[in-house]
Amino acid sequence: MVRVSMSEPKVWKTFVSSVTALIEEAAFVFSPEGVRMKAMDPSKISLVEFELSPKAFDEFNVKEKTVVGIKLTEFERALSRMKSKDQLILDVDTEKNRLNLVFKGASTRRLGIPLLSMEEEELPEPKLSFAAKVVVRAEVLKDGLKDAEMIAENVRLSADKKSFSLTAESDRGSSELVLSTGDEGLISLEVSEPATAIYSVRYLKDMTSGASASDNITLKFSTDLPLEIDFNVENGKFRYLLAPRVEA
Amino acid sequence: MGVQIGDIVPHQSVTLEHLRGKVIAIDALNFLYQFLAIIRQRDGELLRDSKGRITSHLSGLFYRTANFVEAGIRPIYVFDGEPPVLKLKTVEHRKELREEAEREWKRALEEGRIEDARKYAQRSGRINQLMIEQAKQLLDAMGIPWIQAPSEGEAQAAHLVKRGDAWAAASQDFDSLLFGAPTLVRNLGITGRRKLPGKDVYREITPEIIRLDETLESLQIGQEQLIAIGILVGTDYNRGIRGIGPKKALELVRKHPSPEKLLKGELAERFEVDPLEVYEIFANPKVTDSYRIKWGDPDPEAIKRLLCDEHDFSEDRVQTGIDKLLKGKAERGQTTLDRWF
Repeated sequence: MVRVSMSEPKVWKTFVSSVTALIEEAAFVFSPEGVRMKAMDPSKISLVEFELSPKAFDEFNVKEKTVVGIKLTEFERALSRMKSKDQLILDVDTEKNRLNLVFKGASTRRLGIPLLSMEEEELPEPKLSFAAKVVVRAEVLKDGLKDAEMIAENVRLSADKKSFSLTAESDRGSSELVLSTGDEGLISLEVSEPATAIYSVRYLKDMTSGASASDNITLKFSTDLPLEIDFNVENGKFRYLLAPRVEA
Repeated sequence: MGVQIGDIVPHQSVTLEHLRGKVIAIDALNFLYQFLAIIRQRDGELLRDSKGRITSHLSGLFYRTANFVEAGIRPIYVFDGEPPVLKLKTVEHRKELREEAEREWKRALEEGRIEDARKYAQRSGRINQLMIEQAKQLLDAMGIPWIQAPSEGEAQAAHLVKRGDAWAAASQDFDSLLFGAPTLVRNLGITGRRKLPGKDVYREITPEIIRLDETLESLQIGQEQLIAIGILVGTDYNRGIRGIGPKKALELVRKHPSPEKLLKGELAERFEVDPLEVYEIFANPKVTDSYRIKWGDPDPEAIKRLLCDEHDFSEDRVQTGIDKLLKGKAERGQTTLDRWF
């Protein structure tokens, strides 16, 4: 049986809306150790991984490992019916094949959405070694991405021993975010050799949307290799991989 | 037409999104015929320009391809060359069928049977050499590569997939599997909402992926036996044996794994042509290694000259298609993670 409740369901809601942009269906694995989800989008451009410990929940009643397959757009729509002060209870009804969302607030409301029969996927992990590891404040990165979005679909990340930059260029203009050692927004910078690669702004925005302004985001990349993004939220963590763009 | 073995072939329905970043070798003639069948007015009449020249094929080729490119697909069109001699009979037979359909269409129109008219009209489409030349010209203007096959387009498309130059072959026919294409995509040319013939019902058609290894595994046969099944039920090069459908054929090839013994055994006299000659067409198809694949930039001026100036297409709609091509071109550099697995 799976029955969990959250009095602060923001993390959950943010997570679902940030991955809905990337994938259609997800298999959430509930186990006594917590909840995890790992999926690759159908076009294989990105991979998303999410873990939440039982501590993130007020009540975490999971006796054995249960895979809960959900169509994410439906999940997101159901979650959007929740009021801001509501407590959220997720209850898996295997008999009726439903995931029940119970909103407890001024009243108790229930929405049931169908479960998909899904297996936990064994996803291959790309073999990567990263030349650059950059830890930045989420708000700084998000601002840089918003600037870049005005200019182009793609953004170039570059790092050397002294600085990290995010630049965009097109016939619409150019944008640049530079973080040098000592800057407040740059938490740490480890670069074994200079790295530069291009990634889609749209994906980067979706991938960072789950982080709050004050969170620290870790970016790992190498020249023309996939980018790994990870950050911790309270009692949970996010990890993403994004395939680069190359000059065609 | 092609070999009818759909009943026994497992497939996976996907969305266009699954095909993002994939190079797909398209059986050009197969697609052009599909466009002629679908892209018609309500009474079955083809689209024509102000001079009365047919434009359905160009409309289909342009807008469909623009959609593929926008979805991140990288198409290569493969055109038929000289058909194998054994196909001439089929070609002749199809011509008769089309002429018959055309007569029925006109009759239905006179009698005011609009639904029937459309049905017959769809079967009457004819692609001629001029239309093929126009299609190639349009592809050039769009920056989409095309290849001239020495013989069957499907065989050459399968060859591209085998050599790793394409991820899949696209055709409505299953012949690609007989030609050994490791992956086949069906429904690509007709993806979307389609009206069921004769009914006021629509259904959503999605691309289907068929993998040769999975097919053989699920049927528990090898490539040789798959070809034999095709020959038993009928191909473009021979009429099948009356009373033998895919399921019966599957039973037979399992019982007699050697195609030669099976086709030359007691069934031999029931073929009107030498079945081993047909077998050879599939097992050792006439294909070429000398081709060049290069995606160019779309040339908006050339596209508009061809479609708007020459054939009266709407400038606005063509511009929308051009925008999709340009968007797809910008997407071209997106890699996928499986490159690093």
